[in-house]
Amino acid sequence: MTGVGLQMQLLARRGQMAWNTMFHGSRTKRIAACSLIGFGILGELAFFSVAGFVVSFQKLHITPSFVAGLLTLVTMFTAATAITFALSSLYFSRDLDLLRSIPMAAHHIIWHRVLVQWCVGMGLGVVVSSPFVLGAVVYHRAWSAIPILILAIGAVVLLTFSIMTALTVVLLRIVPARWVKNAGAIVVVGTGTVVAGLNVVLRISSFTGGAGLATVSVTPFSHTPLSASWSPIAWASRAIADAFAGSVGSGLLWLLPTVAVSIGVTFLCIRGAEQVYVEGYERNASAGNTGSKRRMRVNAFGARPRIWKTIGIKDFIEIRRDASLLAMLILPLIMFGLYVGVAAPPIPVLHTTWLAPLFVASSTSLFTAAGLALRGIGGEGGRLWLIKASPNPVRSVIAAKFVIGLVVTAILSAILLWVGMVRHALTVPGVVEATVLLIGIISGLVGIATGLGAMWPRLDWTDPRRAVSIWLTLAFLGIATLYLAIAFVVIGMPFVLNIPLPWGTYLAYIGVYVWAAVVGGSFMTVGAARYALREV
Amino acid sequence: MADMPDEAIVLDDVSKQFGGYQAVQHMSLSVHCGELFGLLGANGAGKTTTIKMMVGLLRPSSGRIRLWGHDIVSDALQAKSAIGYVPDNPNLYGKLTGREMLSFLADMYHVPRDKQRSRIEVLLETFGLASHGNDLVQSYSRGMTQKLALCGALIHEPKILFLDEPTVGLDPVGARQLKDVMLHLRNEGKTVLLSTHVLEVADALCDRVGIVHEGKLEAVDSPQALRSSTGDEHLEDVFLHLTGKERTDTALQLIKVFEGDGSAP
Repeated sequence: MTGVGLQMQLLARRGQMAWNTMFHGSRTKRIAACSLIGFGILGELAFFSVAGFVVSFQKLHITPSFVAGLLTLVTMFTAATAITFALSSLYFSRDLDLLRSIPMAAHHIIWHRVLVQWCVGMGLGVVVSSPFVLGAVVYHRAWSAIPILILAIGAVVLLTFSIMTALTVVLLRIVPARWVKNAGAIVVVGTGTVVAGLNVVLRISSFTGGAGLATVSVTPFSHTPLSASWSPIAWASRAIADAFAGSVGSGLLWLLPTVAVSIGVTFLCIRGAEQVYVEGYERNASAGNTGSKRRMRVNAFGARPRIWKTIGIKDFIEIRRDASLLAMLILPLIMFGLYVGVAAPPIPVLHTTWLAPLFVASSTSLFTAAGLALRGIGGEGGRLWLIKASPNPVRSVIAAKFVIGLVVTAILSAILLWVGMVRHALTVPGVVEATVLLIGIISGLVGIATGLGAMWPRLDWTDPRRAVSIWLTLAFLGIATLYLAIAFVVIGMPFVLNIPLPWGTYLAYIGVYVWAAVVGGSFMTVGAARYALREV
Repeated sequence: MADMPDEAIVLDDVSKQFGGYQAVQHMSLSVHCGELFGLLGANGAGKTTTIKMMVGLLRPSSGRIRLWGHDIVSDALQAKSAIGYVPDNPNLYGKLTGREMLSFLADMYHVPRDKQRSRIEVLLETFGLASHGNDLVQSYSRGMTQKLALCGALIHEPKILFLDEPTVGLDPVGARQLKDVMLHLRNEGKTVLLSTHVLEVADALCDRVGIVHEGKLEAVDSPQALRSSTGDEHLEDVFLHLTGKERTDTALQLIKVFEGDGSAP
């Protein structure tokens, strides 16, 4: 079988697995999957009408610099995700032993992983961006731009995936064997920090009216080294901009070198990384068997055994000793910390100094909750039998997951809130008000995450970062964003209605805590019921 | 033991269905207190499913299971307090040390703090893990993990111990230790239920065995009684007689097919 045939075969099997995941099994599951797709299409159509309106309303000019900014954003996001995907799929995936035992060259495995990631990334990109793109296409009457757009973005994304995959493979070969499992986490945190830092720095240099989240621009990366004239990003940008301007021929001329370079570099990266990958994989496999002497910690679980405390501290120890899990928690903090470290003006209409930092801290807690509370039950993986077989009520287990999620998320987000408030006019009552509100908001958020995670845990993982499916994470982000939006409406209502202080603040407290209790409590109740019925 | 029931384990017409597949069919069984009972069966016969239902990891589709007088579904916490369980492939927390793992399980089973340390040390010493007690579990071999899981199952001194394929992954020394521990527990009046493929283990240790075939309990008796009832000399012959003869024939046919077309490796 040729290399192309083999890759097609592997991709087909991967597609078959995805299909089976969605449709194979009970009738209820098939109906649920079809309903989800139906709602997704309806949502896309609704989104399309709104996005089309927004795009046409703004009379958007699709210039090369505008496209370059967006493509650089896509590239940076792709670069960060490519590292985690390469780590998971090339070093920790369950099927690797099988793939490596059959007569197939190692570069085929790398090709397969890169292509799978490319397909998934492009698929998600199409889902997320199609309403905007179609809106722009309709507005500019540039239907011929669609294939050029897809090919140009596909080429840039493939180029990024292959380069970052090769870099990850090389890094895991270079670092000492005992650091192999942690090296990826360090790279992810480093890349995220650089991306966020670059974003902030470039915003500061590009705009004079402040920076951070308060400054909104759709072209934050339009003048970076990545979008310079020598870069394929710049060529792809010209191809897309020309196609939208009606110059399809010129667009194709810019597209050709982009695609050629992308494919060429991908070939070079994958073939070049093959031997390094084989050596790194073997080092990684053997690194799992090295142990380290730890101080005896029989009393680590506290003086009195309480189940929620026992499970909570066990989770805490696991996270503390796993750099990849720590990275998942630290990364959002660093990225948002860089934003709040840059002063943004308060929103004058609400007469508060803490609303913007509270918003940023709450948004950060979204990601911390996704990385911790959402994977509470799923994080147990194949070890869930230990908890399920023990004589403890379901509510203790769910409470344990909620408490550890709430404590860690609240601490991290509160730090961010206070840093943000230091950059604004800081007052002690303001800090107290905002912290109390933050904890209320976060408790509901963590309740949603804990409940959802208990409803659909993923227990068959080999890499703890994959303890939650991407779909559950997306569902949580969607639901939690809606929850946050309503929570902030609740907070803002007394101020908008000009209810005098401190009654306005008290009403905001009550509103937020009631909202958090209702939503978080509902999700946790359903999650606990589902967990009780779960068979392992 | 003032609250000792008549039977340690009672299965009453228990069935388990996964979708359209009937994994366990109308199984009824009583295991006496202080008995060492072996569950024998081929791969996929339903042994693990049965044990998982007994320990509360799977819910029976129908029927009732009582452990030490407590229903595993309606009185789950009391029933689970009475049992220890070691699965066939124990997955433990790799980022905890051996001692932390046992301390965690001791807390989960409500072992008083003042008794924890001594029990942990005795168990680690018994199974030869004392020198590895401060190593992360992820550094343990398969056999060491199996032993640690067994330590965890014994930490709260359960009345009933469930062992699913306990000798898999153990070296001869570990296997011998395990056999000694099982006999010791039986002599102490504990009830042990184990599933195994190793018929010599069942023959040598078990007071009674149950042979499971395609989800049904085909026979329950002592190894000697089963041998005499079927007229077979060895327990292996009894097992094949009751479950696997046709499969052996199929295997022989398959070998002939391979030999016929030269596909045999």
